[in-house]
Amino acid sequence: MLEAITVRLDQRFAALAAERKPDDYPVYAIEHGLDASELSELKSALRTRLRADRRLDDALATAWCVCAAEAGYAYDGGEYWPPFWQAYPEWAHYVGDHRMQSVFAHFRKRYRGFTPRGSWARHFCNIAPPIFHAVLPKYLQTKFVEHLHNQRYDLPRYLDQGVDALGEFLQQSYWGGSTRLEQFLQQTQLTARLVLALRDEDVQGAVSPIDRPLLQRIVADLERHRLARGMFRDTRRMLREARIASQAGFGGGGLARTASGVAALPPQRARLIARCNETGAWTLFAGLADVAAALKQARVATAAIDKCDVKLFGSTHGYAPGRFLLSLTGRYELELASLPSPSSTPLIIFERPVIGVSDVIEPGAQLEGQSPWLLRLHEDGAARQVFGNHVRARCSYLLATTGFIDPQLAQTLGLAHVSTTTAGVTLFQLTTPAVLDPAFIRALQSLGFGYAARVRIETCGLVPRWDAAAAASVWLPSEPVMLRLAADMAIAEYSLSAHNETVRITPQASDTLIALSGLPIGRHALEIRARPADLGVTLEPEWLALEVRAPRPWPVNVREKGGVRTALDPPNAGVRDLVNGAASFTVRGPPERRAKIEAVAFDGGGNEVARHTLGQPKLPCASAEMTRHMKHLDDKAIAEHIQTAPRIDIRASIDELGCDAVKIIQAVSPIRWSVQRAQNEARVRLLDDTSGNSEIIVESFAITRPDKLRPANAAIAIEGEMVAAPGALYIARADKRAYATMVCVAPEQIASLADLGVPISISADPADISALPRLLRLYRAWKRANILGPLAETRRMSVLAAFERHFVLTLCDPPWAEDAELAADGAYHLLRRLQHAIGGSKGFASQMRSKAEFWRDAPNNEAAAEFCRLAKAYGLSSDETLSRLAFALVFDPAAVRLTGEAGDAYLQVLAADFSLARGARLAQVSAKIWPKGQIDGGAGA
Amino acid sequence: MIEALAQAPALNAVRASLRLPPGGVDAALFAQTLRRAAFFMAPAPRHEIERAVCASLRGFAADEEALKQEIKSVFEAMAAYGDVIEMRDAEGKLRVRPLPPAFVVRDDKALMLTGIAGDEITPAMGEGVQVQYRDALRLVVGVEAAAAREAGLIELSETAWLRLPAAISAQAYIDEWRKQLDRAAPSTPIADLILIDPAAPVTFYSGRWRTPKPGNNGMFVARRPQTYGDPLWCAVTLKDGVLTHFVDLFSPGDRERPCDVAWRLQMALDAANRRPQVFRRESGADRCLIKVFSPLPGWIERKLAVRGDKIKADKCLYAYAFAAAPEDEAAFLAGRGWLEEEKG
Repeated sequence: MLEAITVRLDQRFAALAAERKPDDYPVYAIEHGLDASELSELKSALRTRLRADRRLDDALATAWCVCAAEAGYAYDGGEYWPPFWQAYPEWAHYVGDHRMQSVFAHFRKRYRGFTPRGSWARHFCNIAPPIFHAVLPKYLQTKFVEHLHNQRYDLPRYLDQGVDALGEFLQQSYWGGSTRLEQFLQQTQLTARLVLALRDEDVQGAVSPIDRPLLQRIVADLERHRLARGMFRDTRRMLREARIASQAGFGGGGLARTASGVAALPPQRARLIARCNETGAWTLFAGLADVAAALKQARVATAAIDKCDVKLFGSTHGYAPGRFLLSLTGRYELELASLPSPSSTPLIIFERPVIGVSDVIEPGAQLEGQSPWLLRLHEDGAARQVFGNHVRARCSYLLATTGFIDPQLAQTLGLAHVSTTTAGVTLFQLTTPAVLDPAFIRALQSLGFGYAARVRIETCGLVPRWDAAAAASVWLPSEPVMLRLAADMAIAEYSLSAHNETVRITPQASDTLIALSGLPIGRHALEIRARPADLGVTLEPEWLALEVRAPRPWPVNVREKGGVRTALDPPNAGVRDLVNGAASFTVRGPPERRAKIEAVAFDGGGNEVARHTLGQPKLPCASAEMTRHMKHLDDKAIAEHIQTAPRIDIRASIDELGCDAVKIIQAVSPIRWSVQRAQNEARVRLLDDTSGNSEIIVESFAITRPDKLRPANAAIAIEGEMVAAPGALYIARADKRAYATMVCVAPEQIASLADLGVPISISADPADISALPRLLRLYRAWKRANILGPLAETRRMSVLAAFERHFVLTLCDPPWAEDAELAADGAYHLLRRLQHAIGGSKGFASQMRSKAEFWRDAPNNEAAAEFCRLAKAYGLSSDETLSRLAFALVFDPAAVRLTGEAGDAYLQVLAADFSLARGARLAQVSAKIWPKGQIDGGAGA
Repeated sequence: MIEALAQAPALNAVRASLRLPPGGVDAALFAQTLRRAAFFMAPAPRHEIERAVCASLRGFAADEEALKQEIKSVFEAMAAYGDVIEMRDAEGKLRVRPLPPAFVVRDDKALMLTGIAGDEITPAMGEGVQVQYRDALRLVVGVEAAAAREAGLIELSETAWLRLPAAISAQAYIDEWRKQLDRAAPSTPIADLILIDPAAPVTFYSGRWRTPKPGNNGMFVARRPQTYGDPLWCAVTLKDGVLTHFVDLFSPGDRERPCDVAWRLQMALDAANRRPQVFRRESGADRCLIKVFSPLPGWIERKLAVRGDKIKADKCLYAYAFAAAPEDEAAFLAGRGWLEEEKG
């Protein structure tokens, strides 16, 4: 039976490969063409064969690819292997995960199979092939469709631009939300072909890049989901219409056409805008073009932006990092305290030119035109620069000039001086009469302004979105651009041209309503000509700049406009940074309102798996208070989810104002430890998704004996190992990197608080200074390990404390070290004795105690410098390296790196004379108990 | 496509783009146009948004002044229901911001939608889901709350949505503001100040506004002009018709709009003067009405909207229509709003 299916599969895939070869379409393992019962038979036959052979038969590689791809189709975005092992337990025993790569390599070679690309596929080279050979795993289907739906207006423009451009567009246009979809979109060839297959689903005869029955299977799965179903149908309709429009040669509005439209319009420079304040004074602003979009359009790499230092014109602060440019999105208005002189001065100033960035930005960062500028007063009270400097009858303007205006001219034009807060410019208000006499027109001309008899054009129906930088109104494809045309004279005919269409209209009344609809995405220029009934009058044509853009997904839009804001500083901070106070989370919202702060954990598929309230502070919330709330990330209710989830959102919500969140992505390593739990039992297993070329060395240490290496257990990498309470540290070493995870298991029975405690002992002899380098390495491993399980952070702190205690015993001699520990726990009367027993200078010992507040508050580097200074001043050691080492061994052992003979030599010196290390330890104890130790023990005696 | 259109088809094209059925210039059109404009203009002063919408629709309306008033009143309702919020910026000026899309499950199981979903205005909730536009309200009938949650809308509990202020007696509320007035610095006279006359009939709201007169003493709800935008709501103390102190009305965290605070304070003043504001109940064949004669604070409007629909009605400022007898609502108006039911 197995042989028969194998032959069928071989014939099937070979036929697909031959059919697709002319179009260079790859073949996917999921396109096997088997029905459900055949698949089920294949699965059980493969298992039986593997049990019998105890090795993988290369002749069955194709069949295994089919089953692996089916597992990929059902993949839920979490771990690929555990469900696969459950379905095929023999695979783990007799084959091993590394073979998956070679199995698919065989498929690729034999049938022109698909090759996954991108960084994720490179890092996770064992699981990437089965997942991507599933074409569109179930858990990604809704998200992919949502993405296509969001891009449905832009998508048609890329359909005829080739697979690369289409796939790249799909990847670049994703606005985030699912890390897994981001990874999937890295497969640009696959996603583009999937879209093209959906577009041509009903085209008979053509070779489809994706097997049609498979497409039907995906479509059927999508149809089961109510929200996705509507979006999917919309998107399919749009794709098919785009195909028909493209074949008929109209309406497609492809890139080239849009580009020509853009070229016809003036280049986007900064436009002047004036706004009036409450005192009646006007302030000038420069409406900058969308800098972030310009950088994106020019494909400027973030690395290049990082090389820049920039500031805005008029800024009194220093230069900011180049990434500041990315915040200049939309219609950014720069308030001008003074006008740039000369007017061509860039408004974005680069500290030094960076080719590829400054030359992209600077041309658009100059003011449009030159003095005098003409700004028309709009309905919303703002005045905006007029392109072309043409004055209309019955309108109000502001005239901004850096020069002198002849009083005679000002009188003729009726210019009224208005006050401005912007230095270096004079502002006048100009109100034009209904009829402009020749003297008025001549006065305008002498200022460089034109005049033409006019047709009045007003938008109506919908309020236009105004893009000040582009001097254009912005519309969605679904919105009709409604214009009301009127003229001061009788008009025989209007002629309107836009997007290769010209329409002549004979006005029936004084006002004529015009609707423009169906304009493709992009920028357009609408030309309006009017033929007066009186042929003796000439009317200049009017131009309106319009931009049609795709609607933006509302979750993104709402985040930009809503009333609650969250921020993470630094932006790449992790959960531990928040808990330790090394990073801050801030919430901006209306004062006096309470914000609910929650941690929400998501699985790999972007599904919420846990949610926990961290606090409900009143705004504004001080950083110390927020840090206290962040400590709740370690609460038992959510700790394990926080430790393992690939994505955590820290979310702030204020009732009806809604919520905002920062996203913390936790990296998943190709080599990692996985824990499967059942009740109080935990089984740990190594997951290796690397190429398998490097040797992996496995080490483990029990929490109770954290420095005692347990016998290496090779089986951990295959079958896993039961973890005994309270848990252990597991380290996998490969390619000079260590992948460490600490796994904790709760005690089976907890009768009292005492049951939660764990005796931890360090095996090494405290008198053996030579053991220190190894112990320090282990200390670092425990400190940096990922943690999994209940009480994990508490256990880790206990292990680290045991190591620290051991270091002090070794460096300070046990009796003194034990007294120091008692003093730190409240036996303040011992402090005087400890101080006297330090050795060396009495002054040095006294300083160690009396500066307790400094040791407590100063940053580590400052405290270390002061310690070295005192050691030298009091004659203990003039060797700064030695003093720093003594200080670091006590205050921050994880920072100590001891290498080679020099390191050993320093340790020997410290072991021979305890005074330096004792001094550091006394400083640490004094800092811990300050101010108690100062009073009760009598510092400075 | 470029085409010339007559007035009615042009209006219907605008309505269709806002997902409204064909019709005239009505409150639903104002609400959708305001939502759309409020989203992309935000943060912006309220008057700028109202003015922009008025300018875009004036060609379709016969009476521009009436249009302005209607747009203003629809905006009030939208702010009360939670489509938009007025928040203070860094300089303390009130700016309108859209609220995120959310929903409240009404007693009749219909979902009341609030907030603005950016370009979409109202978020899609799956195939075949129809939104009913009733003036400033958007309702979805026959859809489970789970479907709305799945579409990304925030579910607001009735309590969270109502945002009721703490229960307090009329006198205690007056005393709170009187203390603030006592602490305010003495004021010079303000030109064009207008106030609500406590002696004027409480059933004719617009007739209660007038300028201060000699003999006016004590505390009043007033409005003072500002350079740009609508006059500001304030509480004032007058001595023989001359202004001595004033405070602008606001609530901490902008939980209530200044007009809500002002209307509530006036309700309290009227109740304390033993001339309480009134409401009237009327029962018809298929519905019961609560008619009111003065504007109600947003939180009272929200409470009434949980079961009722706001409608225009004769011989009142506006009314709420209910399918069943609004006993709870009547008790709420009397208990929390210090209103008295007018019998007969």
